Amino acid sequence: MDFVSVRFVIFMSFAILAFHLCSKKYRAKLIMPLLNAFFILTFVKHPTELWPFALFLVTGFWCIKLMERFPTKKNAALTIGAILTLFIYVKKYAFFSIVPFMRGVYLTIGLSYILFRILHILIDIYGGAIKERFSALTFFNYTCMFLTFIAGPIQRFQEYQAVERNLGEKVPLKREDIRKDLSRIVNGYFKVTLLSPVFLFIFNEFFTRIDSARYEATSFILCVVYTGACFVYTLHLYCNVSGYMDIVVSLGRFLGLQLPENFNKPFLSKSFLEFWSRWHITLSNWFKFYVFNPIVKALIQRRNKAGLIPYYGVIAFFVVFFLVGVWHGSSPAFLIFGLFLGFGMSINKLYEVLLRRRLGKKAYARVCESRWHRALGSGLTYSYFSMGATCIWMDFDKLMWLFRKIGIFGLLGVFLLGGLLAASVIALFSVLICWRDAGYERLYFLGRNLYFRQGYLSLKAFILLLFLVSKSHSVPEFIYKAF
Amino acid sequence: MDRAENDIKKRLNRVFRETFGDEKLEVFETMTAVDIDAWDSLMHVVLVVAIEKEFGITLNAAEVGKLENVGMMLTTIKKHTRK
Amino acid sequence: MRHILRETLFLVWFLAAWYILALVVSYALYPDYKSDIIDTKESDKTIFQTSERYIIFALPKILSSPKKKIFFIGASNVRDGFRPKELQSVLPEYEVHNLAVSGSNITEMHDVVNILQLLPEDLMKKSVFVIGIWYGSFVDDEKHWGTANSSVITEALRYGLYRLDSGKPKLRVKMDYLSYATVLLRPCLFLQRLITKVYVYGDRLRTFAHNLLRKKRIDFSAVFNPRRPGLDEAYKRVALRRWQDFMGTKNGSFKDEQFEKFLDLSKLVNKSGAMLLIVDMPLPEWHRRGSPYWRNYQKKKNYYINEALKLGNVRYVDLELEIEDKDFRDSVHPQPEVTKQWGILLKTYIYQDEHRSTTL
Repeated sequence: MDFVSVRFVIFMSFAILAFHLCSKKYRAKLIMPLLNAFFILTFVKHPTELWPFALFLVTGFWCIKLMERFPTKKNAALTIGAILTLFIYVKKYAFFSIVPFMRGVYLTIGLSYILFRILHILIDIYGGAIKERFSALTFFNYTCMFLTFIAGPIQRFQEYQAVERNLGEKVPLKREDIRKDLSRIVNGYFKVTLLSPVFLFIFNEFFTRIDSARYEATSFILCVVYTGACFVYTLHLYCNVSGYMDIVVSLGRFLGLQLPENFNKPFLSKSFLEFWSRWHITLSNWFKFYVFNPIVKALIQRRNKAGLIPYYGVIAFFVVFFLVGVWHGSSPAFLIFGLFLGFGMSINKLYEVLLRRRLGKKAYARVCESRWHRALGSGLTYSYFSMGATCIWMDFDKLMWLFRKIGIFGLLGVFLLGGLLAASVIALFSVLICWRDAGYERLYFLGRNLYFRQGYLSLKAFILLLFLVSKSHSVPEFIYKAF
Repeated sequence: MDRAENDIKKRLNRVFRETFGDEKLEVFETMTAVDIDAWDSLMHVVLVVAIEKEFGITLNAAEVGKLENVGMMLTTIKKHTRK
Repeated sequence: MRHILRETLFLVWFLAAWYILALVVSYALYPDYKSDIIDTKESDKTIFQTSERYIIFALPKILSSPKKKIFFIGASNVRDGFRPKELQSVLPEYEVHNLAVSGSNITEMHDVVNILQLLPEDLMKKSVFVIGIWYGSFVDDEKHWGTANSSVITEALRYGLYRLDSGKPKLRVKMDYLSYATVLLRPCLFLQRLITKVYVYGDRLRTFAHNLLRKKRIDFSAVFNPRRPGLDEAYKRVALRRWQDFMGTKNGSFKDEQFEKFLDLSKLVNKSGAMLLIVDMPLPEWHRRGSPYWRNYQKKKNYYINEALKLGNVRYVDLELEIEDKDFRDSVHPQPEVTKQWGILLKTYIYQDEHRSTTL
């Protein structure tokens, strides 16, 4: 079911009503499972399309039960291996084509997120972090919660268990909180249905210029156009995914769920390293907990030498981002995506280490806090990420063509030009936000006035509705749904 | 705070000082990565390994990741050393 | 729960308030056009802004009087050359509507006729369809529209008032309710005007950037901006090249597609019982001389026009000699002053008996 549809509005209204009006003890055991099951069913034309999906869930649950009873190292390896293998097979990753894939159409949406959730449970049971036994219903609710089904956020199971226990209690919702959530929902939809398509439209103008067949321009022009394309595409991407997350988290609060945030002003990051604690936070955390930390820990335990630590970081970064790339898709473009990001992280880390060594702790801290360093850092971070994101909108052949055309210096130029552009825009934006907040302070009564705020919010909602009715642009699909 | 807890805090303090190479460092309950410049995700693991070594404990993946502040570290160490 | 409902309702009240405000402002800025005649040249003065939207929403206007109707269909040359007000005085028994859409090819004209077919049958039987063609009408769909629908169909589908039934537009609401739906949609149309303005500026920016990136500069405004002092040789060259780009084929060749569609269009009008008057729109002499398309068009059209004439109740008139070069404001568009003269000529064809219609 598309989040931007009348059907979803009806479904959500029904869900909220059912949740609040029914007896509290049925919430977790009846209402949630029914809603989740119904939501999944809307994705298929025929229930038989669900059987690989069901197989995956059932296998996951059995593995978990096995680990609960016999939490040995061997079983951990066995269950994790089994789930991963099944996942790769069901998702038809190309490099697994020795075994014939299943035929027919079947549902694969949401499987990657379910995979992460199952793996997290298995690893934590093995480590002793999950001691309480839980039912199949809890498992189903956790893995297939309809709000987080399509693309996260990936909540930690322990947090979910605590929430589910409280679902039987009265959900405390203050008027002010509801207003904030409604506001956030409207803003989320605004980002997704208005800002995101506008940026996509502008991006397409740039994209059509980057056409190997028709384009006779110089490499310089191509660099400029490519920079513009990257810049605008990342804005489109951000509005799309963060808008959806706004909607999901706020709607979750109406249902008593406390879903974790997935985005935290990512473009204010001072460095590429910091970026990943602000962008797709739950996924980053998952990789940090279960891939990065274990790798670094294992390396340190093998040979604990202070000078080697940054290099352990480099190795871990490459492994993590290689997996991130592969998770997005099995095409070579995503492989490059992963390696490119890993490379960026490594360079950033080594730069930090070198700079700290060179300047000494105090001077280093001062430099890092300086306005210019921060502005440049955020700009270059944006630029690097947007270049990486190219792998989403360009296929491998075109990427190679581009690289051949502009070369390594061209790429560097794009990086720097994009960085400058992004730094200026981010700085401008920060200044505008400061002015707006200062303005609110001055016009105290306006900023706090309920009717003014409601008027402004409803104006946004109104424009949104007009926009949707006139279907001037078709709303682009939620980007992360594809992964 | 009883003597055992004090002792843990002192030893943790020493671990911090050794890991971050700052003799003047003093830990407090709500101290997080924000308070120490060099405490990033990489140094976090170094810190955890040092803690494991100092107190002779092994932490699982979830615990390693969730040790976000000193207070949680103290609680976790206490939990493991009491066993 | 109570709070959620309360807050949602609070928001809904405000939404309603904005809606009413938008409705009122739209009426203040773009009042309902009093005239009962559809004249697409006036579109920009209405809330509909474009000819396509005007046709789609103003359809019920046609039903307001029981008079016989004449529908002028074609591209912008038809829009400019057949002014309803002047023609009305020449053809008083008819109600004249000009539904020409700038840039139409035959496919789009066919779409307009399909929309008109949604009107009652008895009205169709008494009507006259005047379809103005020139070689530019026969640009093929792939070149002109790409994979998209014609602009008329795009607009028709936009607000969900129409749907496509095997390629033909059909109304989702009853014709009587179309005017009420139009009132309800006014805020959307108002927003559409604003968006279109943004597009116009964006397009200018794009052309500017486009011209920066390409080595040669094509003065697009030359063809569509008639303010140039005198049509000098440089302009004529640019115009001819512009039409070459427009047609998209080499050596003035045509695909059969639009000609076949033209025959289908003639059959469609004929089947509804209406009279069809095919008007061959004129071009300035220098344009005729310089265009390979015009020459090929002259050869190719004969067969199809003859086939159309065979259907009966079909007339054909060639306006080529009815106008001088000075009566054109650019390479295609006639000055509105020719209307009266053309009106008188059309009158003789409309009132002519069938067996006296000329064949080629």
